[in-house]
Amino acid sequence: MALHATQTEPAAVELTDVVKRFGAVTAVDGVSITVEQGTVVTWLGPSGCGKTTTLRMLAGLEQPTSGRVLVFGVDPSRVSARERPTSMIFQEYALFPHLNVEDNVAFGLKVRGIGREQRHKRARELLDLLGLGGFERRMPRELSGGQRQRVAMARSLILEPKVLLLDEPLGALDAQVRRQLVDELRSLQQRLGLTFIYVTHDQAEAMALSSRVVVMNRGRVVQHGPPDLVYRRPRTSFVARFLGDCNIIDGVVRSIDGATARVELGGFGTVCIEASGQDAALPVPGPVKVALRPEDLRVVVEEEEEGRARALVLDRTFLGSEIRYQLDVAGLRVQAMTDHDTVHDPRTWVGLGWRDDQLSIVEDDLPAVDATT
Amino acid sequence: MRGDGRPGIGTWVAFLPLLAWQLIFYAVPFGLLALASFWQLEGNRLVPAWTLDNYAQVFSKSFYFGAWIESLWLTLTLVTTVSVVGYAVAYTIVFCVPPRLQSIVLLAMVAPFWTNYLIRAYGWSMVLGGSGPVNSVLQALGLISQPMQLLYTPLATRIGLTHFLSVVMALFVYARMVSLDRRLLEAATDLGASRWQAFREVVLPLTVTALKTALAVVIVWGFADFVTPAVLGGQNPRVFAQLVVDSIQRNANWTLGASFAAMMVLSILFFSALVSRIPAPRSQDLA
Repeated sequence: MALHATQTEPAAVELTDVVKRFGAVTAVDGVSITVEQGTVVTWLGPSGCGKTTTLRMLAGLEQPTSGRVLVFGVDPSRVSARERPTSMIFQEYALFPHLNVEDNVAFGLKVRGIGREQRHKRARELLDLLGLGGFERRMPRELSGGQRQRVAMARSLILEPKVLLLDEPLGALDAQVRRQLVDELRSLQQRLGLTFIYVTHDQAEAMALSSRVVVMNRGRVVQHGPPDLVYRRPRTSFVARFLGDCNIIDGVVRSIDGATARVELGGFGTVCIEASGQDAALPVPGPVKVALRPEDLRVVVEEEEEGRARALVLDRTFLGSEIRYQLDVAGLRVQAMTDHDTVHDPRTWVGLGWRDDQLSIVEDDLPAVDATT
Repeated sequence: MRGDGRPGIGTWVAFLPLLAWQLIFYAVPFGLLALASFWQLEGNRLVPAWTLDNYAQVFSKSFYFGAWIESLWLTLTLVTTVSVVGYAVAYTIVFCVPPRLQSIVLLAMVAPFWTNYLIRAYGWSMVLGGSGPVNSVLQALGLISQPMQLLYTPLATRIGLTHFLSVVMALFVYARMVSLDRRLLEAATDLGASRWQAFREVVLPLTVTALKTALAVVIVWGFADFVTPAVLGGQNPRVFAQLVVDSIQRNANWTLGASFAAMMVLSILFFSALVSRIPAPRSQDLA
């Protein structure tokens, strides 16, 4: 197994060319990713993208068809569950419905033959840690969703895993509880210094929690990196659209100067876009797609300030903290998000402002217009 | 709907047909039966002269009491064999048969029950008979030289009833087991449980109610069936239900038959209550 006895500690998780097929369906199609110890990495993607299958391979619940899975240097499918450094938090928690909270939490110690007194003492300690003191005798059905989630955490943490695998752990909860639990999870992770592998389809959750995000689509990793960078510099149109709203605008590269491309962008005029460096190849002259976040577009009153482009307001939606506009820029429909400083009415002309470094040239991989391969 | 959660008058009205059904077809006949068991027979007429004589006979005559013991013993063995066989069959179908084949396996299991109960019993009598396949195979293998006496033994009764009741048990348990959330098993495994521990700690406690429900059916059949003990067991030894048939059909002794029947019903109720009180397997230390 561990032939190269190096001084460096092993990575928490190391996936090398991992493929998983179920019959004719390829769920995971060649994934290679390394996760450092003590970090939170979120696997993000639409349902069926292969993120849960990847997680289940890390848990040893599935075996890869080919490729190598290592968790702390150990192949999880080669050791028994008791020797794995992982513990999994299941979707909807999978709490044992016939056991009370304390027995649920103590389960892992019980099957290891730890005496009743000792395991229940430990269970109560963990329940206290997670703010569930006093709920020991409750049955899972008597708990709220957030409480169940905490019981599931306690049940996993009692085994002192090095890697916690979380499969959409907040999926069944309402928005307010989610936000609170995201904060709790983050502080818990920092206190215990664990590695979290977190699977979700919720981009806000992913960005709030993780030091790195791995965006998956159709079994492949499309992009990975720190959440702000992936958000700011999406590599493909899929990533741009999956992480929040994004305008994808057709443009034409006219010339390249070093790492900067001059792009003609319809009603937006000519812009200068720097290649993002994030494993993106330099564009070549010809048609491209350009991503622009709605919140990066400034909408100004034409009489007061000259914008870089003109737009006609088509529609306006009040979203609470911000306003979303549907705009027509020389026949192109784009979205803009603004604050409440000035409110523009439909059928008025406005000016648009932006910075060129807010634009990214993206590879086009949206299913609807799947021209590239 | 009323706010206080107590059933309104409408609820009781809705229950009336059910109540009437129970009264007319169960409570009244059973009441009459119980009455008759305390009456006497004069010639061929029932006379309401109160006596405990019928019950005294059951407990004093070893022939009668022996039959009650035999029925009790039959029921206990069936409770054991059917729990093991029926539960194992359900477990195998749920966890070892691919889901798309499960309905076919269930169908194959239930198919023999489309025939008449009596015909099925005679089917078993041919299988277990002196020249039947069981003896033929054993002889061909050289394990026995003479045909074994299987038919008309208590064992034959148990084989026939175990077959029939195990299917009932398997259907009850299957329905519950197939709806178990598989993630519970994965969670148990992920938390370090062995296959046996996952079964003992998760699957069994969550399916034991279905097992107990099916056992109620087993107890009723174990005590009340007289066809299989007659066809396969050759009425040797006699079971308690056979005494009811004998005393009423053959001897026209209605009062004695009534006391047999009343005892049978009480026995069934008693043992069903006993089974339903078995607690779900309690969490025990595995250390």
